[in-house]
Amino acid sequence: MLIGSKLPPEHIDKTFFNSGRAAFAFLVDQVIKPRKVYLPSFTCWSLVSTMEKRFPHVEVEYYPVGRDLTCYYPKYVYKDELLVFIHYFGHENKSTLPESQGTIIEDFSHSYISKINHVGDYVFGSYRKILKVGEGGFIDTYFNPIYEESKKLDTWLRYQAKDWRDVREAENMMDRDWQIVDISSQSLAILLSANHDLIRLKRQANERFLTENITIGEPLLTYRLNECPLLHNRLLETQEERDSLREFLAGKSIFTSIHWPTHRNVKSSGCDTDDTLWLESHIISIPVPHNYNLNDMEYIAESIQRWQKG
Amino acid sequence: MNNRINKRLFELETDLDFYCYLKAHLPGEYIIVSEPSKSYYSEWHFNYMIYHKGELFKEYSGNFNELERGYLVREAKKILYNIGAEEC
Repeated sequence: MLIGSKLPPEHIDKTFFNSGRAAFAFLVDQVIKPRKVYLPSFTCWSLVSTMEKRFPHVEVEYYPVGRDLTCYYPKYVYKDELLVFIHYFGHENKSTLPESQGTIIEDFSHSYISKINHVGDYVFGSYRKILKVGEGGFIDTYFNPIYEESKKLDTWLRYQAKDWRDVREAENMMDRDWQIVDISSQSLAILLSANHDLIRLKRQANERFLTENITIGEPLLTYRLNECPLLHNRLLETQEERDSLREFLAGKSIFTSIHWPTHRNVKSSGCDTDDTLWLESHIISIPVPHNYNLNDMEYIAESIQRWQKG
Repeated sequence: MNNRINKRLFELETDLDFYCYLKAHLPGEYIIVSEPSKSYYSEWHFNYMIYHKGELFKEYSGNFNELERGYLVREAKKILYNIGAEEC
């Protein structure tokens, strides 16, 4: 036993970053160092552009994702290869993983408040998708990164923002940046004080209300009791119908999104993207944040009914 | 020295800093707004509008990858100098 006042500090089994993409970049750059990376065809641009801009020398192959979000993984992941899979929108991804001698990592950005058992070698993600936080990303393992320097202007802008346009500009700024940067004290304080059980309950209630009260299209997912929905995704019959509804809702100050537009690299990769492109053109993503309540969800459902009546 | 000139919060180093630099340093009667695209990803596209007392004063749009390097840095400094908010 050693007793002293200058012993090495403690640490927790987690590493914080300014973004999920910084966490991902750190894993690729300094931990896994793969020769080849498998990414899903149905994905956020951040993973694709991080590989393109920061790791142009690393081969990237995309695997198909079905309309029901089933992943068609490669048969085998070799020793110097990395496979990334996503628990989409808070829902556990139960597609059977391939045999692997390489590394499998879970993108938990949508799902870290869902109670999901991890099956990958590492888990990483972004905090911004669910929490109203300026920035934040994590790996569920302790590392001791030497962070890169940054003015963090996107974070400054988020905390300076007066409306959604500044937040969107901050998102765009982040899409032009692949640095491995630390999280800010403000964001860390907010995420450490977040009540996960309350967030899960409120999001579940909001999502359930929309599932039961929207009378057009079909829900993309049926959430399990342990899962915390990121969004209420709905599939409409045609792109024209979807776009018309989005425009109508925007006029009612209800801002929806499309998850996801398909990145040009995915489109040109030779991967079977039929279902990914189908999702892009039929999906409408409706927010169900925990700071909104059932009255807000009722306003959304009623607005959609008004659009249906023309 | 013009008394509207405030201490700089940070240095303007690249074209990518244009929006935040003006957001931080324009006098109160000016606002800068970003309206790049209705779609989810704008990536390298930008469309910045600067308003003076509610009227459109300047507009900059384009693609960061196609800009002459330093163009927006020079424009930001010119705007602040011309309105008396920055020394040359």
